[in-house]
Amino acid sequence: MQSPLGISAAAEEYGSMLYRICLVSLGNAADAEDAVQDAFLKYIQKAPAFESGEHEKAWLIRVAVNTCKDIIKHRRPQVDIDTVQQSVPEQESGEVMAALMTLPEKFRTVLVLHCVEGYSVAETAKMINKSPSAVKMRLQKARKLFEEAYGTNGTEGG
Amino acid sequence: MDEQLLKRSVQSIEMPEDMKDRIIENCRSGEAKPLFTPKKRLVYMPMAVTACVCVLVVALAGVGIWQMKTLSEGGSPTEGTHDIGTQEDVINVIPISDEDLDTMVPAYKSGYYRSEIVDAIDNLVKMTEAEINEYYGIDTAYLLSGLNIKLTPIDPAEVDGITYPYVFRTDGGWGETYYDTNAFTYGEEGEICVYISKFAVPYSIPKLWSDKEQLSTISGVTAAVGRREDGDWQKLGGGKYQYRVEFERKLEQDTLYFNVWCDYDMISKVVSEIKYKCDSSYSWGVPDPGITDADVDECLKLIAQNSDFTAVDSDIYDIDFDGSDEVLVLADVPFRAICVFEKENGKMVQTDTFGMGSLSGVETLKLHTYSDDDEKYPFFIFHYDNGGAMKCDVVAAIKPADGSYTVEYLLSFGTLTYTDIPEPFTKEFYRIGWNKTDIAMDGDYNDISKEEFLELYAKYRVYEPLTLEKLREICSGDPSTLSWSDFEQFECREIGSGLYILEYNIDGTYTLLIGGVPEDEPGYMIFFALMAEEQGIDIREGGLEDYLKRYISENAPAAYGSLIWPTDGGCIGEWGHWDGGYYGHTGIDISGIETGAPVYAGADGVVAYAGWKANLGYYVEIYHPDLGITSCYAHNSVIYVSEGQQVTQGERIAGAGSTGVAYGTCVHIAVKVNGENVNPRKYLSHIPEGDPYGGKDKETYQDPAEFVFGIQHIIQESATVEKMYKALAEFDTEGRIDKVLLSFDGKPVTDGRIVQGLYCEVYYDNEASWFSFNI
Repeated sequence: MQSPLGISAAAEEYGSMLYRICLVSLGNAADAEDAVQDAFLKYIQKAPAFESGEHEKAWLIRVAVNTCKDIIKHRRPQVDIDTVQQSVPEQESGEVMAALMTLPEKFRTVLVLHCVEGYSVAETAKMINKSPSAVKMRLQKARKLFEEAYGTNGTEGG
Repeated sequence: MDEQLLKRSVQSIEMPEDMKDRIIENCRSGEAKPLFTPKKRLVYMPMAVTACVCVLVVALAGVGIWQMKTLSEGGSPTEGTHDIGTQEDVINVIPISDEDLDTMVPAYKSGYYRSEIVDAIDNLVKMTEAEINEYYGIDTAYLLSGLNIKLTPIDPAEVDGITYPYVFRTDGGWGETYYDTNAFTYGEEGEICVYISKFAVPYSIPKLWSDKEQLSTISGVTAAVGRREDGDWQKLGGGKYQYRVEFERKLEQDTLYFNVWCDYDMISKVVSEIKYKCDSSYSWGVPDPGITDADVDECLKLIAQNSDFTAVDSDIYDIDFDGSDEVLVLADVPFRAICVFEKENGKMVQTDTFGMGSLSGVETLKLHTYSDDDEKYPFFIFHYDNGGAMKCDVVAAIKPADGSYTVEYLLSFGTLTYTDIPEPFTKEFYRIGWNKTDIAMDGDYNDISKEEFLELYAKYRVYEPLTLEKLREICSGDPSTLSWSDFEQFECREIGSGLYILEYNIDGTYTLLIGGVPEDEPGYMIFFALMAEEQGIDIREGGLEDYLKRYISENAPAAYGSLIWPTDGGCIGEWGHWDGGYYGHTGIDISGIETGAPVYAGADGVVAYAGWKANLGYYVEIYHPDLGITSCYAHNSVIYVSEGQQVTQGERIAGAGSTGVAYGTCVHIAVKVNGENVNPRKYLSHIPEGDPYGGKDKETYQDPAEFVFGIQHIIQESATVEKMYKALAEFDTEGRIDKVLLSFDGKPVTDGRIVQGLYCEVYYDNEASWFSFNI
């Protein structure tokens, strides 16, 4: 068991991680900020006793992902490619992000949870409340879509 | 897909410091408010009310639901001010009548089963007091936004000349802020849910106050039944007061107060009453027939429609898949594929498909009904059986492409995560097999690791002879998606003539060999084979190497090495390398030559295309019937041949240039086999050495592609012509761009319209180079 971190420590530890998940999910900084804030608010108000740091992290991600879903349902957030691209320092990464943001939200989220944050299919499934096989299919589709989106950045010719 | 790149990119996102500070500050100070309801299954169902009179009417109809808590901020009344009534004020509790329930029955008669309702109520009963109370903490502003009601403090004198301490105007009428109502629903999307709400409508309109009868009927608990659709609650039935509570009204000073005890006890009471009614003889809903024989027939029909099943045996199982209660499982005899159907909203829906062990024969099973949310997937089951002792099965989803099928990914038996499988395995996956039961240890279908997989692979691998046919088949596939990184775990050993052997020893017994002609082009000719000792090839003694070498020399296409170097001098530039056809780069670039340098036909043939092509500029294609290949030459400055013309090897067909999208003067040579681009290197008789950096130090070498791609990117990303010119001016600090011409349908475009869809020509370096493309 471990007692929850204070808000500053938690924001320091998990802030960027949650922010990038929310940013990729929602596509703009303002909504992402709201989602992260909401996750931390729940964290300080309602967080259960965590078994470990990993548990704590997974809990926060799950809360953030759910909040993102709520935001998508209620606010229909607009993807702002420029902001997303500006969030990454390198130009190449900007192109990757631009390609990523062309994917529907559900695919972006599984890609980030699985490929970026490194959660297994089963863990990802738990976080987004889907069956593992649905996650596998989404991942497969997401990879393909991403490859297509990123691949078209190139140009034919010499 | 380059996952490392994706990972690196996304991970480079940092939360801005100011945002972090803001969040910390907001959370600390209590400024931060929850955005939405805290629990997923606990959903508020606010409904807009347009006028106070409406509220009464609607409330009488049972759907007027106000959800607000006492406003406690912004100068609004505090809770204490209003908390006057006591439990004793409740003077009469009217139980739910059969009449009340009657209003709900039509909904059930129209196809909703009693069992669904019972489930919904059961769920509601499971709700804890804490969960219910959590709702009281909901953000009022959010509720109001959901209700589409704005509260504006107004001059109390405006209300019939009487002064009330807290009077607000809603956008629909008058209301005092002490509404304390809540609604609870249970149920996921598409499910039946019971909707319980508590409400009070203490309107501060004097004529209502005087009518106690009316007041009492607009306070209480209401229950209704609905279905969640698109996140909203759709009422299906009910909605009358299933439970009425009469309150003593209290008039203190000038404000009317009520106490409404719609707390957990009250809700529990209502719920249990409904449940009792439901469970007892009252004809609540129609009995749920479950999955019937007619449903089975329906499934068989669906299978027959959507698949290649020839014979289907079927049975109904009451098993739990993914938490659902009843599923129908169909087992197909020859394939033993199992299709899982579930009954959703009275209809049979295929939700999963599984393959089972001990299959026989290589067969495919086609199903079109598998879907994941809105995505539909063609779904196939492959099974491979070599006729030997080892029988195995693989389930794979594949996608038809030009009549041929590719294994796209592995669907689980619940055992294997396809992401754990190294790329080459998935390519020819149908050749790999194992027995499900051996993997599913302890009956627990855990995902297995790559290491475990490789072990199992070795254990259950298919003994398949490596025949010439098989090699040819593998080699003719599209290997462009393979890269050397897929083979990192293998030890790579060159065995001469560009042939590499990759070895992977598993407990010293088996060796996985992957051979190929790598270097610039890892994907091509990569094949992997498992050699069985009964093939008489001792892989540890170099037998396979000899075999592969012999195979390569005997079977290399005649076209290899048949094309002459297509120009004088030059070399393959750093940026002109073959990259497997990715990013649209279909060939290799020969740089280090002057504009106008001769471009020679690589071999005898007939000109199949000569003219302008987008991106490729002036472009020539020559078909070589003897070789069965087509050679292509792009970015020329001039073309000397025309379509249909016979050319001989070494004939000058064009002059080098940089038309189309080129990095500079170059000869872009590509080779097509059956219309597919392949690496031209192998087809060239020799490749001269040269300096790909144009005499510059590699470290300081500037990629000319950056410039062209940069321009192209800016143009494509610009919204309007004006913005495009502005962005280009910022980009082109050295003033290399001479002009950018835009046109549409051949007509020049100069106004400030949107650039997308226009044709664009860019001239740069004193018009020595140019390229054009469709934006």
